[in-house]
Amino acid sequence: MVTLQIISKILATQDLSIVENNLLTADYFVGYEDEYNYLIEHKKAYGNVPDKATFLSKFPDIELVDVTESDRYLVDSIREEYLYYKSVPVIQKAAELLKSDSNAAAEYLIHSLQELQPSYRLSGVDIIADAKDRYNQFKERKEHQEDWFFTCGFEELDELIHGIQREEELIVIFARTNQGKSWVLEKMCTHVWQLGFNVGYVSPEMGANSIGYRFDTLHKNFSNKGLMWGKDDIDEKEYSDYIAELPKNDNRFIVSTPNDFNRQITVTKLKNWIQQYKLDLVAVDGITYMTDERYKRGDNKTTTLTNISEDLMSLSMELRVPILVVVQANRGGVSQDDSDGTPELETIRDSDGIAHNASKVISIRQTKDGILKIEIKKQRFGAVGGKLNYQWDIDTGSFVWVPAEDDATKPEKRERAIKTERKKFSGDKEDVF
Amino acid sequence: MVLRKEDCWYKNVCTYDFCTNCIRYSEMKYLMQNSGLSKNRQRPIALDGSRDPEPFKLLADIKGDIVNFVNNGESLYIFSEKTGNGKTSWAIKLLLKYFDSIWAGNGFRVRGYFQHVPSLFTTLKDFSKSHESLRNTLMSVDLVIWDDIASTKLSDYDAQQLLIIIDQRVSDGLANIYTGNLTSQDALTKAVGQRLASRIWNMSTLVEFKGKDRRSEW
Repeated sequence: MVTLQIISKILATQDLSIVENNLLTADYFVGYEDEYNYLIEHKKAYGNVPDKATFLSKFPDIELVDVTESDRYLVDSIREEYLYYKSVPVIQKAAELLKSDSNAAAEYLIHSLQELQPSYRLSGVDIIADAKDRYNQFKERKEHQEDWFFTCGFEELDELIHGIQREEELIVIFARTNQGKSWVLEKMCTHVWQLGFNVGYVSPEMGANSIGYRFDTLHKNFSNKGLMWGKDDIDEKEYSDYIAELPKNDNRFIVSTPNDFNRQITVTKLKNWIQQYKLDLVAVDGITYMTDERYKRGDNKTTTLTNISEDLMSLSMELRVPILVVVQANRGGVSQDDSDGTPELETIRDSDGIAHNASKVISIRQTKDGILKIEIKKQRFGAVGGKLNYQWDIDTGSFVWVPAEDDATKPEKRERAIKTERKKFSGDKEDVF
Repeated sequence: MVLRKEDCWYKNVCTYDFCTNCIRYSEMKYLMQNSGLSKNRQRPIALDGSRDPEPFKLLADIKGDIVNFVNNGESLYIFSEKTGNGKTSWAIKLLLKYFDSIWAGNGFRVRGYFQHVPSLFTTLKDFSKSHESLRNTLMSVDLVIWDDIASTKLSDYDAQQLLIIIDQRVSDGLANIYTGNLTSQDALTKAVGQRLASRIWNMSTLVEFKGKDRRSEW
């Protein structure tokens, strides 16, 4: 009965966590193995627990029940039932053996009892006993940096964050609306593509061609306005030649919209997408467009986004693929009038859980004069607070670092750059002011 | 940033050939746009010092060493009984020279601000974000021009507000340039109160212009 109660509860709450959190496998669902497997497979394939109608169309004979018992009770009961089912044949066999050889019966019983002991333990790594693994990984990182990190396309930012780590990396880029988040995201993606890797870009707000034109702008500096508006300032022959050359590259830049995910972008679907296209980097242009697979009735947006970001980080760890996401800062982030500064972490819209789960958080702001201000708000393995300024020509996709006395680059590099800037104008014919 | 060469302050003197992505232009533009100066005051101006040779020489010296003037948190009071003889123009000239000296490595920060004092109190009475933003700017930038200070008698409240900001600036070692028409500490005291008058008169280099109104000539 308890197995049926658990299945009913999963369907009623649309939540598989009772199974996932308590390591309940198909063995526990004696007589309901098919139903159990169906639930698991459906969630894997579509990102959610099937609804009752779908489930009943597959298993029309099952009679679902109303369940008011707590998860704790149900789990204790099914574990007890499971132990019973496993114990009966052992006891029966021991009784048989006892009739002819009590020593053999006792030996069998002792051995079997150990196996009967259910394991509720979760796995882990002993970082003391397995320290050598760590050392080997360190050596690998040291000798083959390119296998562990991508550069991100902003040379000075790379110096601060040591690029994009190729595993266990969830980078959040946040800003208020219309500040260039998507451009920065695509700039990083384009750069990783230029390095020769496969990139996946989930674009909830723009179609593949719009992303493609931005790619052309970032990759080869074609005027974005010219491309978008079909203006004459694009040399059609030059563009045509460039377009003809692009497919000769072996690596891909896959753009998918919510329609490609059947309107529901879940982490499980992302996983399939990554595996299907053998992606090396994934970008999601708006975490709020994703669907939380762990959603329970009553969950608010904060919980939902926290769950999604947690699942994205797990995905990055599992598949060894860095994930970049864009998040919007709320209106309190930074005033439009405010001439300095980028939004603060606590202004990430609807969730501080996102920042909690991220390995790096980068805040950006674009001033009305086309200056892109970047600030590191969080990084697990490095300093925070580092600032950088870039002069950004949005039309040609060029980003030029503007050295500043308070930026986070190495002092000698910064001073050299400032000196070089001054030197450019040492030939001024006279003093202007 | 799209550079319109005709807008560039250095268009007649610059010999560097590459205008695209010119950092000097974008840094100067940022400093100017956030300086509180109206567009027509963001242009370099030539001043004729023939009527006030001594004060002009002193100010030219300060201009030549403007970065140290600011870094040392110094203050200057340029005053004259007469109007239109170059007090404000000189103050702005010093501010622009400061921008010209520090644009490299500035990193798009607001460094100097021009504040017409009689207009300040209207903004400060508006308890909005722009009020907060202006107050923060006045409290923190390297150099503020307090133009036409004490041209009208301040209410106790206004004088108190101004004192708080200037007091803070002086304590933080930030530089100030005041311009005004009051030529004695007594007159200043009557207009802005003793404490503020003392900060302006006793803690500044005093420069008096005696030339006549030359607005029509400039």
